[in-house]
Amino acid sequence: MINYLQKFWGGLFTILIGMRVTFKHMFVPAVTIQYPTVRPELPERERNRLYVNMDDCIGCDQCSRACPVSCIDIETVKSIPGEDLGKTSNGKKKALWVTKFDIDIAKCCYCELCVFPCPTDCIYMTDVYEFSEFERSSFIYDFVTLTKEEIEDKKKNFAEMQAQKEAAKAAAAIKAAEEKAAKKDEPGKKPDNEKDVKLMGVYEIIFYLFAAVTLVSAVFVVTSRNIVRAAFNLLFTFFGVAGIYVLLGADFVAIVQLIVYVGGILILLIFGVMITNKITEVDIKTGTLHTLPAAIGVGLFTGIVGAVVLNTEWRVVDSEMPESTLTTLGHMLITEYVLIFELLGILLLIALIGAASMARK
Amino acid sequence: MMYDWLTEFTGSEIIAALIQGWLPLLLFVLPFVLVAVLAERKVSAHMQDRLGPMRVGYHGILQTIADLLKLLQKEDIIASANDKKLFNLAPLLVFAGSYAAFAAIPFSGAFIGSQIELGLIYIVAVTGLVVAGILMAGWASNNKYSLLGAMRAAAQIISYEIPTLLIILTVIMITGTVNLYTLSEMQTGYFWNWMIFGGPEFGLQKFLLIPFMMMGFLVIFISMLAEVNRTPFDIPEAESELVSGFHTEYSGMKFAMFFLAEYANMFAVSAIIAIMFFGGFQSPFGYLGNSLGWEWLVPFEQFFWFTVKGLFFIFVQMWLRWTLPRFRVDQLMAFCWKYMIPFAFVILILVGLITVL
Amino acid sequence: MALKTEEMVLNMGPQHPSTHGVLRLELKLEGEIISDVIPHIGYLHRCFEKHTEAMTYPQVIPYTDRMDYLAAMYNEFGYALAVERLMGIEVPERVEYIRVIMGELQRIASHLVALGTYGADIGAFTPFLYCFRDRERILHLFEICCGARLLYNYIWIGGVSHDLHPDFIRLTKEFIKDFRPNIKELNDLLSYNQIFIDRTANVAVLPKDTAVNYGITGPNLRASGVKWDLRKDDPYSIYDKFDYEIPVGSGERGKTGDCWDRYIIRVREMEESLKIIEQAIEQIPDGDVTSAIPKRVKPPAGQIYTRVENPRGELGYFIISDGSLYPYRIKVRAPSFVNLAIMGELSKGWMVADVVAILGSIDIVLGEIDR
Repeated sequence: MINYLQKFWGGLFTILIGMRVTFKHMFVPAVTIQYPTVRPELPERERNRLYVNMDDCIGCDQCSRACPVSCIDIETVKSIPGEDLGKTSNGKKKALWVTKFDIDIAKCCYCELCVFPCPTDCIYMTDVYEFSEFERSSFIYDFVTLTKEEIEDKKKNFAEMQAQKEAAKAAAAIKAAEEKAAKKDEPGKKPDNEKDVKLMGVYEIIFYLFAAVTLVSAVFVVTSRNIVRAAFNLLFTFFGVAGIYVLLGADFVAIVQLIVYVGGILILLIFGVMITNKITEVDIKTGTLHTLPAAIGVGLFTGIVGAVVLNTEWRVVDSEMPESTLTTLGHMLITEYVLIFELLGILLLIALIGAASMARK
Repeated sequence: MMYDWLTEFTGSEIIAALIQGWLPLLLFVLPFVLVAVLAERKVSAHMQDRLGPMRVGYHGILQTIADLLKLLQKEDIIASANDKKLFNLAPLLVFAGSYAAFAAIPFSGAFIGSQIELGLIYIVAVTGLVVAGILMAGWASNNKYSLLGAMRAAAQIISYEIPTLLIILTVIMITGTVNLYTLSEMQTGYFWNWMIFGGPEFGLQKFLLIPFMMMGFLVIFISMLAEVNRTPFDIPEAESELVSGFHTEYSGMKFAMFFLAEYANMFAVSAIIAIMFFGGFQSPFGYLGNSLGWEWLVPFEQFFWFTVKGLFFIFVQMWLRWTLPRFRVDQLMAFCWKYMIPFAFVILILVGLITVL
Repeated sequence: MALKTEEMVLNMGPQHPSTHGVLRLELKLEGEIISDVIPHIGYLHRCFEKHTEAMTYPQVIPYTDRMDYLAAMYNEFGYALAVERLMGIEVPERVEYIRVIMGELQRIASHLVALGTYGADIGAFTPFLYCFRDRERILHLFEICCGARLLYNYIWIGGVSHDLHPDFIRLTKEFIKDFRPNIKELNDLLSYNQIFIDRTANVAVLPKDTAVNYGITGPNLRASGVKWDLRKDDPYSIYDKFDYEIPVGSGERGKTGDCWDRYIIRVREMEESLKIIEQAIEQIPDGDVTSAIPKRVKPPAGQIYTRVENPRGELGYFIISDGSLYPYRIKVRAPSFVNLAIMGELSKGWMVADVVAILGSIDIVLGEIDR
């Protein structure tokens, strides 16, 4: 018993402590920024899109060899003796014409392994991180600064030199420059800085509405081929009947109809129907079918009921709003009908215990 | 009453009834849901150190309207194996169940949908329609997970109706009426006349009742949380376990109806708790209108206080949602049957004894 | 859902909000009770081990990052240690200290993800965001040092790629000062919350012997009561110079080895990591961090198995070198791969809703399992 209360109190207390934490956080300023309008400041060593400064590139191929995913593609052509390609910014003399320098930035894994081996620091990572494209082919960045004709020219010179060498050595000829890719010679992409009616009163309309709901859904209950549909139509029938009870002035009975029938019995029925396996494939048919006796029986019954309904003198009374039956019912249950009330309670208790013991297994 | 005034005004009972039926929906529930959805996102954001919607409108005020427009133009997907009639009917039933409760709630001294004598019991009965609607939704989705979610939701709601009813019985015992309007009217005066402080009659009974009223408030608050499927009782809509439970298969406007129904239900439940224990539309300090002599101001003031109390409880519900993890389904049931119901019974018996003495 | 107990097979498919990555769990159910769980993996297999045979040793490091992407520093650490031992390289002391600091910061970051997502699976959405807010600060610390937030390529064979940024020590001290109260806040909000305890205590108890027999390592093993941590029992790098405790599960809120123990061990490990980082920052010497990095990594022919303590368990690298620039074979013993094997054993007798809690408490990363 003590354990029980302790558990309850402990639960409540820890919940309140947690609530205090979240409440305090409501007054802490937000830690997020509103991205496209406000951008975070990136540190200096940030690794984003690559850029190659072709003036400094000596074509040593170190970056391409260091790359773990082989995203850098370099081709060079030796210059003929006598040609001056100039110096890089840290004084190295350039000896190779770089005819192809492609970086497939979609393959790049941003590991920076290409930056470290470069002797002239010509390849480095910029701070551009927004470079989405529509076509996949636009991800292959081309950094070469020579025009197509110049490339052809260099290669021709080289080839002649080689041919001379070869001719001197009588060896086979080397292949000339291959065709350039369709990409024009814009040197890569520059780094930039880159969201009633006349006679009908309200009550008549309501009555006809509820009556229609009851009748129509009752018809569907009986004629529907799908058991689940039939069960749900029963729901509407009960609801309609509750409405009619209200119109008759039995308000408490209507509420109880809703609570017990709709909220209890119908839910039980629906659970039972839904859980039964393969319920939608069962064909609802009776074994025996004697149409003639059935027709005679139904006809007799309809006739009798109809005759009674049509021949009775239905009283039309203009009454005021009936008063609530709640207090009267309450009193009567406890004073006049108390024995029946208690017996019903015991009956329900027995049913409850029986159900619980059956479900225990 | 508003109904009589409307009948005089329009000259016809039918039109008056129609207006009375539609008015709470248009004027209150819909804008309220718009505000509530946005409030939930903003409250959750601030509790989590972030900002929430900021772009649409000033600081995101128009976000819900954008969401509504988006949902309206979404494709209505109905799988071929679904039961079309039931599938289409389910959201309507759920919404009808939540909205029908508003008929009996007094928004202020002058406006109440219907002065039904059995106010509280009527509300409990009508939320049973919500259960039927949920079952229909789960079944018609033709999806194992949805069916599971729907069954759990139904079991949860009907189990937690019991402590609710028991505490309602307790309040009936003290006040002698279930009519929500009379219940609110009884708690006039200052805030120490509210039911949570023992009721309007001064005396020994009032002071003895205070701890029991507080515990009863706690029990009914927790049970109402379970009835509207909010965390920690949100197993039917648990995203990480059942991918949205019984409304997985719904898209577009029908999903919006489920959403609307949940928030309308939340408000109905907050309103009931406010009426039962915190004085309904009564102000805690007396009326500005009365002291200034402007009698017509009083109903508006009452409406203001009613909304404030309802919104406060909604804030507490949201606060709990973002603080607590969720219960497992069998723990949920155990909690109801082993803790809530015994407590509710004990409170009932003891309060009964106190009122008799 | 039938009343007669036929066995039903439910698929928690590759795409599910709660399986941490692309993992397919086949649940055999009897009603609501699970009788077996069979994990199906391989949805994230990227042929890591085969790739390494075509790359040089330094080029393998970005690939090791991508195995356990939540604890990338440790993957690099283990690999670098293995190759250094094979080659016989001695790294400067400053490098050792930097590696330890980075490793422990990474441990805290990884545990924050584990705890946050575990809370989110159970239904508490707020601790997830608090954990990620703290993790952002750690990732910022990494960013200023090496430029990347998740996949670093920082710990190289023979040293580290850049020295620490001048602001690093100051920012780390600030972080530690702010983080200790946040752990207390997390405990208030989630760890000792009665609903959380009801969901996780006494659920899926892993007895000591079963854990050892299955080869479980890391926080899962320690939660079952076995005091085994590679940092103390098989020390590598300079872990023997620091003073810290190894938290062991003791059944505080339930039985030893239940989900709550696995959860709280991770919280306590974060506190211990803070101690190690503080001590390392005090003691770190000066030096050159790139002096021992060899120009060409060409280990002599031979094989070696090195193991380190990943946030998830024992991460082992088995490297066979044939004397050339390219490794002959690298085999990785991923801790999550071995830890996932107890899913079936642990989940017997629990309900579908618990599968999510159990999976979250084992803390797996699919990148490591599938490689």
